[in-house]
Amino acid sequence: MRTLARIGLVAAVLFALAVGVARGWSQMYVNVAVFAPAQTAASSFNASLSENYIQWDNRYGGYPSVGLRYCASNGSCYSWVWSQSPGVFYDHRTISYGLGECHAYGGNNYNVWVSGCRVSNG
Amino acid sequence: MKRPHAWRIAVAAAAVAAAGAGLVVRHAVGGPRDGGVSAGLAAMDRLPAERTLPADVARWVESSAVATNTDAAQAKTRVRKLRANLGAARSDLYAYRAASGGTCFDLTAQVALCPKDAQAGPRGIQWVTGGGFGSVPRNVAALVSDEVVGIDLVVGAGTQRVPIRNNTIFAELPSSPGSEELRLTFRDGTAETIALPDEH
Repeated sequence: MRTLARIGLVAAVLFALAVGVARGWSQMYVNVAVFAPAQTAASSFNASLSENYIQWDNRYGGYPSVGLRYCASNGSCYSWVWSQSPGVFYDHRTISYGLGECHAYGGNNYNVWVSGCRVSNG
Repeated sequence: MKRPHAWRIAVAAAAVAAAGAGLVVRHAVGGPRDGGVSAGLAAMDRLPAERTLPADVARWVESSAVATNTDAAQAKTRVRKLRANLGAARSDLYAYRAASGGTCFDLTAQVALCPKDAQAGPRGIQWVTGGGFGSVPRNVAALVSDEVVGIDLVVGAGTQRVPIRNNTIFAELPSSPGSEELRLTFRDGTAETIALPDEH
């Protein structure tokens, strides 16, 4: 019984440490890029994602659109959310475990300048 | 031989100057070359600032203020609540003016946008789509400038008038595939159509 209790205690500590490490995580998964129409970038997987954003502008012309979404480890994804206004666009939906993606709409007629895409679970 | 050549140069120079002057005038009077919500958002001046903010909204104002080179403490004192209890997620819509003159807005627990300035994007509107997770259907939300007098959401063969309240619109979108458009009517009688992306 004492051995089982010790194993349980160690497991609990390891779990707490793992959660502690996972929380407060962020990743800048695009740092300055030009997105052609339909181009997508993805982050690493992590737990409790709560913000994904893209910062971009339309210096190449027109009114292109950009999208964001989360995907789970089984390959299923949320719907894209979209914006057509250059600036910073945030996805504040949440996913228990997954990755973030940023994307240039396939129907764009112009490339998009992306200064950054970042996902976090802070 | 020289005199006709000089005459042509003078005419060309005059034409270029006239065209340039025309562009300057059109910008000065807020003509159709001005995009986004540069015609104004009266609700941002009419409504009182929120005295307290939900924690998630306060966090977003702080982080987005950094991204837009805006003083976060000042930004938090300028937040307006433009809409409440929107759609299946019962989201609220908060907004504040950034240092660039653009208006950042947050459809709570879904999406948020900080346009780089008031002119960013197509004339009259700065829109986002949200939803599309769990039981929350996809939706469209937007800031709409004072020069817009009507917006119709056209989905396939159906048309739905979307009410403009406090310079915003919100509408949930059907799950069925099909084209989705926003048709804007302006005070000057002109109209614009914006096709929403068809990747879901």
